[in-house]
Amino acid sequence: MNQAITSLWVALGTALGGVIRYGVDRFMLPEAPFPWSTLVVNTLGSLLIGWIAGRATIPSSRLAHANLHAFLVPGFCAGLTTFSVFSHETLVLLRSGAVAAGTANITGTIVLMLLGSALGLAAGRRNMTDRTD
Amino acid sequence: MITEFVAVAAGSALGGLCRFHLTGWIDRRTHTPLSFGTLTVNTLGAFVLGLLVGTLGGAAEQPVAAALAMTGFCGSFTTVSSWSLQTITLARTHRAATAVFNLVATLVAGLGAVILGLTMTGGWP
Repeated sequence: MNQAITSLWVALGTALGGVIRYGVDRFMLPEAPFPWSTLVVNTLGSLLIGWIAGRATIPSSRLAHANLHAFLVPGFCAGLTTFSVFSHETLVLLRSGAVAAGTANITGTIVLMLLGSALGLAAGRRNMTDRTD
Repeated sequence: MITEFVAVAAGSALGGLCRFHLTGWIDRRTHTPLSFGTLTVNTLGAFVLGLLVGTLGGAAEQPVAAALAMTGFCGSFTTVSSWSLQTITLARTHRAATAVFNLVATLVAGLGAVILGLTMTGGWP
């Protein structure tokens, strides 16, 4: 039963994350030759997961609660971000001869996702000492 | 427009469920600092996306099917946030070489998997 409820939260969170990712893709620079929208959602999702991980390290945090964690981490953050679309978009750039753009997409994604997670983690852990939500 | 959003939500919910259970199943069996679960879903999702692009074309040809299966299912079956946090965790726990391996292996496997999927469906070269 618990497993089923956790699954439901994961599905809901992923659906919401996926819909927002699609909205960003539809409305943010839809004609741009560079996949900016994927870079943006991947950076934001990596920042958010880092912050949640920092916060969730204390058991009294609401973010350590199993259902909320399922909704936000394997749900929302994972649904908001996407590796398959990033790989395909990179391949399309490289294949079309836009080698610099393809390389920039790889480098930019790696740098921004790691920076986002590291900063998010630091911010989540720092606030942890003076707040207990 | 609304149909596409609903299709993305449905595909995402299913992709997220499959990712959650498959990564859990793999990680419970491997017990390694590097998450083979995440590496597997990311590679598998990139492969399936390659298959779908080779079969269906893109969003211009099949907007609802692309929203459901590509943006929704494959998009949400794979994850950058977990990949990123797991890499940071490896680096923070003094596993720098494993962290670098996680980055490079995932990238190479992802690009290779899309190419393989495209090749099998006549979308490559």
